[in-house]
Amino acid sequence: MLTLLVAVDGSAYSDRALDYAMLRAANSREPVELRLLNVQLPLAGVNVKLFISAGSQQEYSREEGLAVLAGPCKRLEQAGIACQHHIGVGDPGQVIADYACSTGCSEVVMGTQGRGALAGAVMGSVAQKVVKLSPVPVVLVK
Amino acid sequence: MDFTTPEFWIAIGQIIIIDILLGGDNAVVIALASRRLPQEQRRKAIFWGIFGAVALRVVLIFFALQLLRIPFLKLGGGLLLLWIGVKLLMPQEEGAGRDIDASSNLLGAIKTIILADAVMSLDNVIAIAAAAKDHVGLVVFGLVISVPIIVWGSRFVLRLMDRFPIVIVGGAALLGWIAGDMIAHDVALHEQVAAWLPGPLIWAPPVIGALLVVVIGKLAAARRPPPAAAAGPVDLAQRDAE
Repeated sequence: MLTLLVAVDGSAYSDRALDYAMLRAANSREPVELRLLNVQLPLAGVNVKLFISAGSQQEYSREEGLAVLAGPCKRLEQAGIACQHHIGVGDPGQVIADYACSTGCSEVVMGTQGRGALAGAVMGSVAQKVVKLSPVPVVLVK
Repeated sequence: MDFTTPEFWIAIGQIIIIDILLGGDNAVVIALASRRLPQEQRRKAIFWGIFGAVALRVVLIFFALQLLRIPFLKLGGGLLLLWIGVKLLMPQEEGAGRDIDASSNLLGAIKTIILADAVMSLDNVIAIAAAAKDHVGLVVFGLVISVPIIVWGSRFVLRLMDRFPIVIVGGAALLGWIAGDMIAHDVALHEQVAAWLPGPLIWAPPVIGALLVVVIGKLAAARRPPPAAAAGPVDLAQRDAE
């Protein structure tokens, strides 16, 4: 049993990662399980802290996550694959790696924007962080 | 203060940081307050909420420049900024009573958005006025730069705070710094302050303000550790099953 953890964020890059994961699933002799994971950033601003309770923040992150996951889930269902989706909150690279580790996924599949050195240094690359932290193989799709 | 002096550019930097800290999550608050509305109304509520956040800043900054000349109002503004700075460092209060409810009717959502807009704009405006030190050009700059941050900046700002947590500590210290400076420049107080603090000691109020915010904020955070430090990642999607 091969379990692929596909990180999705609604971008074209993550759509291509999903394409790749579905292709792998279709061509594999082993049964393949696909798990979709979306990670929401924590709402760190002072106004959010002043006005919004922790419970509402979680509820909001969950709804935002479900909105991102709706498209990819639909594609999986149309292809006849059961959609397992998960939503995490935190630093995306850290959460993806933690999730892959704690739920025993065999591989992480994710898109990467392939930003230049400067933009990468400022905004950071989620893919790089996952590669650094993940205990299982990571497939980057460009 | 003109644009060849270092003070001018320091003020520019301070204003940009303040706008990012205090304006970056306004759109999130507005989206949260309107999330129970039907799709079409929701879009309208978010648009008018953001419009209100910008418009209120324009109105408030106009009054702020006049009002801050009244004795003791700078003292009040400075204390508010100190409180905001400490809040920035403290973890989320559990079960805090002043939660904005996501109202399911348009009127309720408008009410909460206006209330949030007023508070969010007020602290931002006082901070801009304090950092600009009555320089009208800088005040206008602070307003102009806050608009794109409010409208489009929330994702960028959340990412920035997530990647560089030092932004939050540094921002809180900056709020304390300008708060101390503002209190020292209150119309009723600044002559006594100048008499008590000769020469280089004039830097004491901003330094004390910055230290105060960071120390109080850190102590409060240490006393109340965030409860979310449970083992393993939290999976919000699992609530579907409940």
